[in-house]
Amino acid sequence: MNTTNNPNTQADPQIDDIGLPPSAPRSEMDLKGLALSQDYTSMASVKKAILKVPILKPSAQTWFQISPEPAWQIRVPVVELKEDREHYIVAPDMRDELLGEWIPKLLTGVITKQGTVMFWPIRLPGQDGKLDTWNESALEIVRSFAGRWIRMQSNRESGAYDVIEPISELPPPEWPADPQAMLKIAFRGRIITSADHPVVRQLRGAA
Amino acid sequence: MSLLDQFREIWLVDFEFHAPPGHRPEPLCLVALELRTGRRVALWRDQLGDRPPFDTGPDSLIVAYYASAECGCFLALGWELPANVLDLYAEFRCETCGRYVPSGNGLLGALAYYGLPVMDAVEKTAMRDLAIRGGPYSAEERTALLDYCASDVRALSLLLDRMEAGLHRRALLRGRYMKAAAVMEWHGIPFDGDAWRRLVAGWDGIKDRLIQEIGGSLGIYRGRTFSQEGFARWLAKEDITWPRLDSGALALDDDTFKLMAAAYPQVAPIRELRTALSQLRLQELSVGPDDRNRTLLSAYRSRTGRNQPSNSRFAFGPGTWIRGLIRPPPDRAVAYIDWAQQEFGIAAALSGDPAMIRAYQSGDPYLEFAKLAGAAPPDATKASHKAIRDQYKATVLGTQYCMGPFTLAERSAISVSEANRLLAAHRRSFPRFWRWSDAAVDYATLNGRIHTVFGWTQHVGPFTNPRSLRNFPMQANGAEILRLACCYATEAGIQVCAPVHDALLVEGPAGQIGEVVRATQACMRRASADVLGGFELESDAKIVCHPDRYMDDRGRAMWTTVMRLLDADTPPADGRGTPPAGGSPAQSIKEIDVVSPLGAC
Repeated sequence: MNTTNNPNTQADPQIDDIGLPPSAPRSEMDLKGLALSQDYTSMASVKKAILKVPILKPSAQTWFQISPEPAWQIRVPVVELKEDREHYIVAPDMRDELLGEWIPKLLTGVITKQGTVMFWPIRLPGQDGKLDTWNESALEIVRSFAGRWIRMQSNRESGAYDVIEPISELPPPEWPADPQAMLKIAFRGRIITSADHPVVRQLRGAA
Repeated sequence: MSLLDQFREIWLVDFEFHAPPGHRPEPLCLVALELRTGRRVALWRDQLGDRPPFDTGPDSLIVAYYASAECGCFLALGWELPANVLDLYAEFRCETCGRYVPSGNGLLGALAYYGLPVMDAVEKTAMRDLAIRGGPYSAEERTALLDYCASDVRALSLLLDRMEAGLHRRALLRGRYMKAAAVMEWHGIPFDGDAWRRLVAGWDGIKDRLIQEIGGSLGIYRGRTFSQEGFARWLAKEDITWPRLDSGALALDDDTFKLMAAAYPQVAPIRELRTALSQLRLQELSVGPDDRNRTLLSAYRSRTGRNQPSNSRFAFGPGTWIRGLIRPPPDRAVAYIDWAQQEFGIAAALSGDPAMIRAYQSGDPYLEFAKLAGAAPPDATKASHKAIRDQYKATVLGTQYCMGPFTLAERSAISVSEANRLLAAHRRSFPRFWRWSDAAVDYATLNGRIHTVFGWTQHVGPFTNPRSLRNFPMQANGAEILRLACCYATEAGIQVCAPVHDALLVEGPAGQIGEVVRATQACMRRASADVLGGFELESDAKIVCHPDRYMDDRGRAMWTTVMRLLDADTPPADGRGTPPAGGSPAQSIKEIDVVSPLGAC
């Protein structure tokens, strides 16, 4: 179909001689009023249920942040079963009875780059005020690096942890709102409230 | 306020037209009905003047079913395209995408879906055949075609009444794209018609030698039959672990070949050969008398709203070597302009992941990802850390398609544990993106649908694949960006030959192709910013000037072999042989910037 009689065809320098059409009329639609949100994170109306909060030291490969909020630094007396790598909180009523079995620890709220929340248990000085170099350096890390992305490695020569920080800036983590609720999840079934507790029985050599 | 209330006149329009494959439409008759006044226009082609017989300005709305056809008739008549188009096909697709549509997406299917009276399908087929037959038409045939056209308009009226309540102003944006589609279909893709005709005529004669050339020494063909045993022996010799079916047999579908060709370059020619022998029907390529490849773009046909033109008719079908037929005419040039890492950029912008945004803006998101994951030092470059970059690139692309560790391992020729480590690194590096992506799937499954920025919607049924939902925001918003870019470019007078997934093929005078490219890139940037809240996606361009031909690198070897065999069999009329693909390498726009500020050929 020959459209060379179309005035637009002759006026537009982009048009060649093979019968091209006039350009489509420009549309002045206001697109801003038409846009729908793509913020699915807000729109999905779902939240992640945290069912497990590990109690462990972050591994050497894990990037993590220590919470700078005091509410995430919880001092508790704990019994540590080293063979099972398990920690148990000692309820106030049982502290005298288990004197010598528990040690004071700082449960430090930690979140990894993948969003996993955990408590890092760090030994605190005992009544004699002494502390080994590893735990000393861990407490120093809590004091000096809270709120920053880090990972840490053991340095056997110095008997302390080395801290590694990323060169580039990483986005901040999103912490759960309630540290006490996380503590309850972490220690579900692991609070010694009576002498009948299996851990007490185990410590006393009972079957 | 209803969408329709915004317009003074609403015209329901239908053309009957004659359009053999590859040809531009030739209108036969027009029926139009003004919705409010009942004013009716019914005209045979010799009564159609030099302007529409109704108002098509900004206060009027033109309603059609598959409006690119009507717009194509406007172009054929030299009429200016309507200011506002509402395409009930696009709206029906948007309303039902992902749902079961028992009678298809045609006008009859839409009427049936809503329980509206359906015209006689037999009569519709007979009338369509009559239009396809072409003239001359008897008086009775003219009356029959006009009556049929009028029945389509009546059906359109019923459909509009049924769909009106659900229409939003965004529908006009979809209609706007149908105008752009009509313009692109009108232009078509410049083809080397002589080479195509020689190929069609000589294809059968060279098939055996083609098999011998490419597959013969590998022992993977017996005659014209692909030998599974021979292929298995070749795989063992090449030390390639090939995916298998549950039955234990080698998976020989094209998706598997595509996947493996990406990991093992030696598989690529075998894939091209298999495609050429099994799927290629050269004579089905739609080439018009003006030697331009022109076919229905099939807008909105895919679930993500992308175009889905016929593989066998479109130059950008599965056989990549066929693209060597794309060749600008004398004094002209074409440019293939594609968005750089479009899906990654969309994911970064829509999720708001700052690390992902920085990675995209670095210009090399793959290397940036490797640096973020600690696999490459901050001063690493594409040259210094190529192998690592390739691995992280495969991971980025894999996550975009929700690839699991097994597929990633196969694709990248790495162990499954290594693939697991790479996928975990992606989650660690881009946590906000992953939260957003998880939330998109949650939103879709909770609400039964998911939408793009401009409202293209996929409905979620019990059999919807969660992977397609996860990929939807990138693919479907990518389709929105492409459509908008096509609108901006065609409205600016740029000659867009075709949209190709995440690219535009444009054409212009050889001496001004640099300007055409820059103008197109500006349209593409603007479109991305409009969809992504101001975030601009960059694009790359490859320019081909006459007498060179366009060529996809993946098909270059196959093209060269095919044309050499063809030249030996049937030398071209001028006796000079077919020029090799891309006589000189296609220029990138950056190279052109250096050579000439105008980017002329």
